[in-house]
Amino acid sequence: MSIATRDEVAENPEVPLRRRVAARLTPGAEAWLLRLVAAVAIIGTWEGIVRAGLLTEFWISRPGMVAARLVDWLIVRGSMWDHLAATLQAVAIGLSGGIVLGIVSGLVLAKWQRLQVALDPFIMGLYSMPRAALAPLFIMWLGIGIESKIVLAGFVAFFVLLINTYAGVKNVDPDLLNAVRTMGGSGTFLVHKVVLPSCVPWILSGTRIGLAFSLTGAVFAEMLAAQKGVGWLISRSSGLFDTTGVFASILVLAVVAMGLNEGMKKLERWLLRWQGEVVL
Amino acid sequence: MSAAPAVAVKNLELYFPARDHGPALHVLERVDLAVPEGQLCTIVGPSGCGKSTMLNVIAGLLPPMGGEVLVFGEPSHGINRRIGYMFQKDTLLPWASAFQNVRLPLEALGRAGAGSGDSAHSLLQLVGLRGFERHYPRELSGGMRKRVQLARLLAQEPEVVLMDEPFGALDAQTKLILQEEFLRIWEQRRQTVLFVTHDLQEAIALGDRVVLMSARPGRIKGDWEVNMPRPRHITDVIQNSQFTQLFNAIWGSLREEVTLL
Ligand SMILES: Nc1ncnc2c1ncn2[C@@H]1O[C@H](COP(=O)(O)OP(=O)(O)O)[C@@H](O)[C@H]1O
Ligand SMILES: [Mg+2]
Repeated sequence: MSIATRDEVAENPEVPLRRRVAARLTPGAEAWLLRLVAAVAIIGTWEGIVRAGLLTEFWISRPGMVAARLVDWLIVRGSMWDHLAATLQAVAIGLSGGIVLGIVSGLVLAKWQRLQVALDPFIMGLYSMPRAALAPLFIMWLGIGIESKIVLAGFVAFFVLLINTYAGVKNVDPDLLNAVRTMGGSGTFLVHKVVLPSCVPWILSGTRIGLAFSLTGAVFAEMLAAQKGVGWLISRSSGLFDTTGVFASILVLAVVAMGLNEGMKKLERWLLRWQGEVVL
Repeated sequence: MSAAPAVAVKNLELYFPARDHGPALHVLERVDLAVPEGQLCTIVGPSGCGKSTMLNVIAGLLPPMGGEVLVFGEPSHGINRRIGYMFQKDTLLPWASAFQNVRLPLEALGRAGAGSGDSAHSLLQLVGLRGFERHYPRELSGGMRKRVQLARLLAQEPEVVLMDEPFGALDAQTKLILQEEFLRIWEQRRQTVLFVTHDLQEAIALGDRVVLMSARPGRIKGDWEVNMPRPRHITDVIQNSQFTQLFNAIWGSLREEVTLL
């Protein structure tokens, strides 16, 4: 008995065309083909619903109109770029601050157990609550400029980093610590060579979650009160009953978020190459 | 001046605290052992008798509840840089390459300046891992990881070496090859070694002396000199008549301690 290779299947005229095409594709290409089919189906259904008059353009816009708006905002007038830059700037500054403070606080709490015990309920309270609920407070204190967005973007990421860093320190392999201790390594040496590297996977996964939180936080704050930003654009468009504008903005956000997430995955894979293949 | 033993433990006592409401676990009971400088002393005993615990105490990772540890005649408390320790468990840093792992003790002691690169390289070469400098531990076989740990141990240039079942978890061939290489390296350097193993053949074939620990609470139950000439080759040694005599004698005593479950 023999098993047909992909090539044999692809070239055998007796095999149905569908299977012959499938045999020609690599698994990666096949996945993208399937996604393309799904995209066409979704867009087609959307367009179809409007054309059939089930719902009007006023409520759900239309793919063609969204595409035209994107071309206008991104290319013809290019006005989207300013808003995107404002949002990403708030995310970049806020997230960086949240990451640094989160890591440092996680390390401090792991080192001073008493402090951790004292603060635990407060941290868990803030971690568990929907932190975006604090946005009005930040806007009250810091105004409707970029500052309140930065603080909210940082604040929501801070807790993830704190908790992940803390868990990372607590999960350091005690045998590795002992081994390096017997080499005569100082406390600082241990932190540098053992504790921090074993926290890296925790910090990276915290960063990836924190990135999503930060983006949500910044957009949310912009929707409440701002002068620009993608969040502001969404809330202004919806205020004008401009459904097309809302959809176009959301699409831009989705693509940016996916791009950032993919970038983080690449960075993680590279930094954690010592772990071998990891499913992220 | 009479030379003090490189390592001596006197009247060591150690308990592990009770779990729940059970009694405390008596692990080491009046353990007395003196190892002269340059001796390769192997220690055998039934599993769970306290061999690793004793090494942890000597390494300064675990304070004894009674008795003391002397290193070259001086009381040793806590970590002692003159002692190198190869753990039973794999303790290579998984995020560091073979080269970085071997260099670690040099960095720990602040000796990682000029020339350390060379010595880490030459140590990897010594253990037969030339060309594997940039490999991460996960990319190396079990035997290769043991070699890296051996190189890392040597990089520390310890005067006293503690080894806890270093070749325990390897397949038979790899184990034999590593034993041969370990002998070759040690016979040139002659550090003082405390070598724990559960393999009696290994204990006799490698050691200048075999010490037997009793079942828990661990005590020193027996002590045998091994006078077979060096340099030794494992394959020759096991055909030596002294090997067979020692094996029978020690096994007779060890068997009483090993309870079959
Ligand atoms: N940290 C610990 N806490 C409690 N019991 C321990 C601890 N470490 C070892 N033990 C127990 O002490 C005994 C001796 O352990 P060990 O020294 O590892 O034996 P071995 O001779 O096999 O190396 C065993 O019964 C083990 O379960
Ligand atoms: Mg053990």
